[in-house]
Amino acid sequence: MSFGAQGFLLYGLLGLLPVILYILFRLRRRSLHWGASYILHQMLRRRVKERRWRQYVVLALRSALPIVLAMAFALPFLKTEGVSRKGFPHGEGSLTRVVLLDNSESMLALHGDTTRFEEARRLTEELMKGAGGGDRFVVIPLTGEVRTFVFEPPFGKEGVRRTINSITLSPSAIRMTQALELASRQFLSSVTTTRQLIILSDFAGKDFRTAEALVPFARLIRELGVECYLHRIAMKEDSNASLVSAGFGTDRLLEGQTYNLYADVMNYSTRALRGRRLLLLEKGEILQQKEFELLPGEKKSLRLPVRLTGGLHTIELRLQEDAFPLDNDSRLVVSVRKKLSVFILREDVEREKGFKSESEFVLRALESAQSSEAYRIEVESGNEIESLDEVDVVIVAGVKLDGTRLAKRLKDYVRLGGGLVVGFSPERGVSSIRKTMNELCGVELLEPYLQKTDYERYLFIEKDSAQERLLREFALCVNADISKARIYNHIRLKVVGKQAKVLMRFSNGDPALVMSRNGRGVVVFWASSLSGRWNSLVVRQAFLPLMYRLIALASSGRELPLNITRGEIFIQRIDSNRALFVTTPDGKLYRARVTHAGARSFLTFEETRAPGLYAVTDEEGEMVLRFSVSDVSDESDIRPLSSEKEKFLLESFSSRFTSTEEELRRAMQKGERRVKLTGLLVLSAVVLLLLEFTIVRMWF
Amino acid sequence: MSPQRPSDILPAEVLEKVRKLELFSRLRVESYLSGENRSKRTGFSTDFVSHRPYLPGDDLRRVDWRAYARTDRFVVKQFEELTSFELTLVLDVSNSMAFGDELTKHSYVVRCCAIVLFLAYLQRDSFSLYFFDDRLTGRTAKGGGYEHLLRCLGELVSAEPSGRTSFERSFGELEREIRRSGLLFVFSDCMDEPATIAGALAPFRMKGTDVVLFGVYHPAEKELPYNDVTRFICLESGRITVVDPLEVERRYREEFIEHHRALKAQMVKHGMDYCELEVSGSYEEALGEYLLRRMELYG
Repeated sequence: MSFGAQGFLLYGLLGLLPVILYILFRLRRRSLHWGASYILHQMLRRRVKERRWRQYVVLALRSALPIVLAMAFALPFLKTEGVSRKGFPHGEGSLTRVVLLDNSESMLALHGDTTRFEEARRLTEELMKGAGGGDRFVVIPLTGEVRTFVFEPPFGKEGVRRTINSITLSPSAIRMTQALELASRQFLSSVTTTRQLIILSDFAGKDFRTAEALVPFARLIRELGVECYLHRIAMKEDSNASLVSAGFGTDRLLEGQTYNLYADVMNYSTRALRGRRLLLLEKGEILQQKEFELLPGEKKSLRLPVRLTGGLHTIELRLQEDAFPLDNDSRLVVSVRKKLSVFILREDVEREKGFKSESEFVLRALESAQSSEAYRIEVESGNEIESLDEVDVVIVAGVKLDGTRLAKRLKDYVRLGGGLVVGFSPERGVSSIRKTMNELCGVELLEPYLQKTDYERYLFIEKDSAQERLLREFALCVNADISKARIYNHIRLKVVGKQAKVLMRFSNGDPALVMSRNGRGVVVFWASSLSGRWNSLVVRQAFLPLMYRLIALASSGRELPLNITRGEIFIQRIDSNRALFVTTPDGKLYRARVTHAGARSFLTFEETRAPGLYAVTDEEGEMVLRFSVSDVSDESDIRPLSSEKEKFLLESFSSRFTSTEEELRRAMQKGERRVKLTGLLVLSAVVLLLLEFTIVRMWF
Repeated sequence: MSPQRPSDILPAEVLEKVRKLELFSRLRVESYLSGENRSKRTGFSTDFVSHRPYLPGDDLRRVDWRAYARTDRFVVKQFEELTSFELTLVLDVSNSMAFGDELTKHSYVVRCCAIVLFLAYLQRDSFSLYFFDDRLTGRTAKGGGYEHLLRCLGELVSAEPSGRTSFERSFGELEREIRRSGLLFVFSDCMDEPATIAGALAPFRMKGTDVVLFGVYHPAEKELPYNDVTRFICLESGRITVVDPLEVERRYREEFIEHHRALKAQMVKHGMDYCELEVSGSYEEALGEYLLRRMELYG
């Protein structure tokens, strides 16, 4: 109960008066010489003593009376919103109601038994109810194609439902400013008495990174006298562990070798996630599982060592179900080869002792028992190479390239997808490969770190700098600790190519390993020697694993990728001229385009909107190959706005968030209803008075 | 100080009012003097009672010649013999009669008794005065005349309430002193069992005495008009009873009414009269009212 004149309530203290008087009277005891004691005693003996409780009842009635009267004079009333159960409040006169419907992918997150988007659609339908002549209802989706749906009564329920159901989720980010602009136009052109703007969204933080841009439109809308309602369809405690990305670092693996599959998971929620599991499956069978924990906002890279047999594998990574299932799994197609062809190019150098060439260490390492099964190794000296067609990777150390025909051949080789691993040769110096490295690897070689190598001074490889997937195991010290190798000297360089990327650094920050794409091929440059002249890496345990990974890295350009991102064109070399068909993850069937380049044929496919596994089949339905499309969307971030952004939005729209349908109805209700209680209380006072009078006469 | 005249006790206007009243006994009494009260014997008076046959020696002036003319028989008229009566006034002087503020029950009944005595004097009736509490505590001998009146008034004025009440014992004693029937007026607050009171007075009635009991009470004794918790100290026994009047007032009033009703019932049952007198300023009116009513009913 509330009161319009609260000052009168003080008079309620008069209700204490009967109590005080009663207590005072009871405290006073007078003595009286009595002349009718006989009658008094007879009465006391014969009659039942009055029960005190009757006094208390009368006292209570007498105390309640002034209190009730004081309350009556204080103008009491009950607040009630009187929310209508049928539709949302309509307001006075005719109505223009614009609904901005968030159809970004974050709305796919679960909301109770349904999804946020389903809830938003349902509310949109509800908001359409109760329309009358002169009203106008508009629905504007926030993402995807720019469209405005206008409904003017009379309109059928089914038609509205069909239209609203035609609005689907879109992978693109929301365009709030554009939507507000469209909404403003609707309000400017309307002549209705009441105007309402309702935004149905999860108000995820990623959508409002530039909330300041909304201010001009929000101001305009307010100046037009529009009532703004921000309805948030999200649970503050929603949790989402997202499988952001996964991969080996290459789609081509070598049989018999253990590769690390890295799955990057991110906690897009405001609370820690514990006891979650990542599953690795192939054909529905769990190959491995890994348990993990993530703090709010933490991103972690989970490593799963995998060794696969030869052939084409489709493996799946899956996270446990959570509020947003769209980003919980990833599929990878990997091709596991039985052998890899490595060509080591070297130049013989006469030495009294030691190895003959700088690439001797690499040769010895790869020729070891384990490697010989996996690698077909050829060694050539000098600048002549007969054929590199079947070679996957060429390793160069201590060979002059600049100004030679070899350099040109290698450039062509790399451009067509070949892999090149180049180590710096202290004996040959910078001039032997400067120009070639600049062209192929995008690096500008400078001067040696030390003019004179001092074996008492050395750097080490900063293992944490190895973040490329194929090299991440060195950061984790999985097989060996690469940082134990001593780097006595190295060539300093500057990364100039746009495609060049530093894969590792020395402890002084200088690039140690640089990779660059050139055409279809990959070039890797090692800034120290591949011999023991400038470092002790070649004799460390980490050398061989490093060479494996460098070879795998360099060979990744040899064939076209089997795992692409959404929107990319899938291209794959194929062997036949058969008609091929592609089935998308959402079940659509397309005919693939086959193009020919000389003796080679390539399959191209552009409809890669849907993330998931695609199947390429021939006319008879035989599987030819698979490939996967992953999503690089930040819709996984379903976390709410920060409190500052929230406050900013609410101030801009002069509104507050509602989170349930009931709250939205109440917010839209104009004012509040008051039920006056004065009459009731006055009547109560009269009743009390009559009751007191009657009881006193009856009992006393 | 003894009153020198009735006006020392009763105001002149009251005395004037009293002159208009009559005291008489409902019952015929024996008396030595011829007054205005019916006697049990027939004699000379103006009130014809009955005829009897003429006997030789009867006074020929008493022969009813009209009856002879009608019946041709000689008959003699008989007339009632009016006699005066003896008034016995009994006053309760127990301590409970001292209750009251400005006008106590005792002072009230003293005035009432003065009126009655004065009335008896005016009618030339003989009267006597007794005081009692738990026994007879004072008396004046039977007599008449002005001097006797003054003497009785003096006794009235000097009497002080004290002691407890016992009707049984007091009137037992009184019974031995009053041998002739007459009129017995008792003024008391009747703080005893109704049956006991009536039982104590009944023997007088059985002897032919017209008994009137005046139950005197103070208004506060009836209403119990107190709000505070009160220590009621019995005037007679000194016993203290702590009572919250608010809790018991209704029941008390009922008890009070019941007591007087029972008392009246007992008195009527024994052929006696009972009158309630509330202590108030107009004592002469209350008493006068009763006597007038009595006159109307039985006069």
